[in-house]
Amino acid sequence: MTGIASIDLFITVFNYLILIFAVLVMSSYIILAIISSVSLKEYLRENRFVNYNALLSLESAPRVSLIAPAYNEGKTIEENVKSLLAINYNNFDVIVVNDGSKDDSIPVLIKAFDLVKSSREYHPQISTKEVKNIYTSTNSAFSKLIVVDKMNGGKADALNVGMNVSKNPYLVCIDVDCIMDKDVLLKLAKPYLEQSDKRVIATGGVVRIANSCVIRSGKLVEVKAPDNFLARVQVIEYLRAFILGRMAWSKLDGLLIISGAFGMFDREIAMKSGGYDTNTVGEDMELIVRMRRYMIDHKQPYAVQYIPDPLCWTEAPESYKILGKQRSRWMRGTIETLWTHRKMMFNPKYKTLGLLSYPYWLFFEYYAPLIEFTGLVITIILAALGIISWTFFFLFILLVYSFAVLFSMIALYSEEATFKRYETLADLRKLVAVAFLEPIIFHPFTVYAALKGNWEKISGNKGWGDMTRTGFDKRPQ
Amino acid sequence: MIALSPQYQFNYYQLETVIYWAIIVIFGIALFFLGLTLSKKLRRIKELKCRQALQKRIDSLLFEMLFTDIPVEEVVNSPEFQKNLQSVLFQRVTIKAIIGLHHNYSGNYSKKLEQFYAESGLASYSLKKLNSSQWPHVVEGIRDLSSLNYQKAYPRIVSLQNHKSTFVQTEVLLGMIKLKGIAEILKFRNKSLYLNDWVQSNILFSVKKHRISAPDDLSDLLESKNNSIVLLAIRLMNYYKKAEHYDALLVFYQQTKNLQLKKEIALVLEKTEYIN
Repeated sequence: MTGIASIDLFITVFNYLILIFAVLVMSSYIILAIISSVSLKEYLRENRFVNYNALLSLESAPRVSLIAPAYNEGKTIEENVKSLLAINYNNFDVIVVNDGSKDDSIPVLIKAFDLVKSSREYHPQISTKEVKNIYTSTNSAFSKLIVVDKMNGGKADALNVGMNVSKNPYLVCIDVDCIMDKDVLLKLAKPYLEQSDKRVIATGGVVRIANSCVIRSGKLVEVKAPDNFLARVQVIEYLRAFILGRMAWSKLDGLLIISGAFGMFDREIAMKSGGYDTNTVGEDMELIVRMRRYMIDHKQPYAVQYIPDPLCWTEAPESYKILGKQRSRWMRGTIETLWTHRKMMFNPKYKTLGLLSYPYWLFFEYYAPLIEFTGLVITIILAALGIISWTFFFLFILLVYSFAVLFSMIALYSEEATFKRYETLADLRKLVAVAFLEPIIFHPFTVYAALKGNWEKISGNKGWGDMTRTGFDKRPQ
Repeated sequence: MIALSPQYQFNYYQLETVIYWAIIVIFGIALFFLGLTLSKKLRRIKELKCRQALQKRIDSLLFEMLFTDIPVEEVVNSPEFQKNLQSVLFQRVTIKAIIGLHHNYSGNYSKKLEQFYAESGLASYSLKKLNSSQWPHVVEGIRDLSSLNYQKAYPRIVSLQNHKSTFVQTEVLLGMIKLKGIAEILKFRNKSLYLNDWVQSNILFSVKKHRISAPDDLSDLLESKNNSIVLLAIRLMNYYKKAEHYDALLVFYQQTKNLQLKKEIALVLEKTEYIN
């Protein structure tokens, strides 16, 4: 210590705060992992004998609209749409919303699916950008397809158009470039059939990384650990988030997010809640929080269900540039949602959401990178000045590192004990290796991206940024 | 300025010792999980190989039995089969293979498979599962026995209808329907058992898959005070598409005040000339 009382006091308080924060973060992760493991085991037991095809026998199965916003997807849109139309379900239609693409998306769709302008009029319940045309097919094979051509307004606006156009009571909002399990709708719809005392307002599932996986005709044939280092680390990250995190939040009835890549919603409640917010880049999280608030404010019993089966496979960014844009956007989305719904903070009216989920997101998702960075900088300065020992500093870093490795190992074990999608020893070896490297290489980058997201929010950046992807081969073989 | 008394000041030395031990413990647990994952994967790979080899042998055995004149007794009493039958994995894989074939073949072939299941001792293996304290085993047992039409299991399956697990209760209902036909539903006419849409879709699936014919008195279900049973009856009538059902449905449509039931009946009758 310095011998100067005020500085010593600051250092002591600072050290205690950092230590308490670290212990709280680690403990919360472990508690969530335990809850997840128990509920995952229960889920697998209950669904071991489920025959999802049984749902195909029910003519009055929930009617669903798959809404797929598309922007400049001309090269892959035909195969993407064919892949969506081939989903195994009775009562569904596919609404492709062309969000003012500058490429040839619309001519490609017109040609491929024999589309003609429909006499159907657009009467928006949620206001959106102008809709130019609505197309339907003259070919009965594509009778489930509706294509909407609209002025560019962003993903949330396109999804709102899809909501307005849909006449079905349930909506599945998806990213058109994702690979869906053929039974995705059967699995998402099941909770809506089972609940009787509560209204299921949304179901969401697990998103997995598809890089390096074998994909043929729009179907996932073989799961492999990605060859690219960044994509491989994201496999670990997604396993931790989805298997060890969201499952627990679902069990606690505190799920604040359903992935934007795919989720199923009760259309009526989504519309009454106002649809997707076009002023945020975190529209997926914001909508689910708003829908939950709506139900609580109107004193209606409801449920949000989470399906831990891997149903949606997405392409993860393989370059730091794209990853950085994605993560800073996620951070901006988090900030915007937390700010919009700040009234929920420690508000007992919102039960788990207000007392647990919201504070958790605020402290451990939003503040964590800020605290981590600030703590690291101050500790290095203090160590450099000789006020605290370097041994203490490195031991503390090693403690955090070892915990991150432990958590990744638990995630890998959970995957092996449950869904077992990475089949070979080579895959396991690759994933274990990145688990050891992730805290040193990947994590600091995500902290940097989160800080950048904060800065972008302060400086008024509202864009999505270019998210160029390689794309999957969905052509028939 | 506030000065902290020494006991509240950060004791780096003490804390370093704690952190040092925490790191060792955490790394130890991480390595433990790594070991567990590795052993699980190795075991799974080994079991998969074993299962594939077993599957080949079982398939050839079953195909030989089905498509040649070899009697069931001869296969069952062969020393090789008797030896393999001691293995639980063998029993599980064989039952799965029989159910698969039973689903794909009908007539004499399916009768022969049912006979093989009963005489080989595999049915006894499934029956034992009904006594398990774990409900998934009980469900599995009921499913195997009913899928392979093992009629002797009927009383035992019925005795499980008040099982504490709702999953077992549902499976009992499905098992009863598979073994004795859709008339079994009539037994639940005055019960309060709630059949949600998911359970109903499973019943309809079983009816379609096993081509279960309609009972004469299906319309009686419309008199049930249990709305979920009535809803199921309407859906079954929609599947069977019999004229006499439509008459009963039309009468019920005019009498009932339940909007969900009205909507469901309308869906059925819209396809006919009864409602335009």
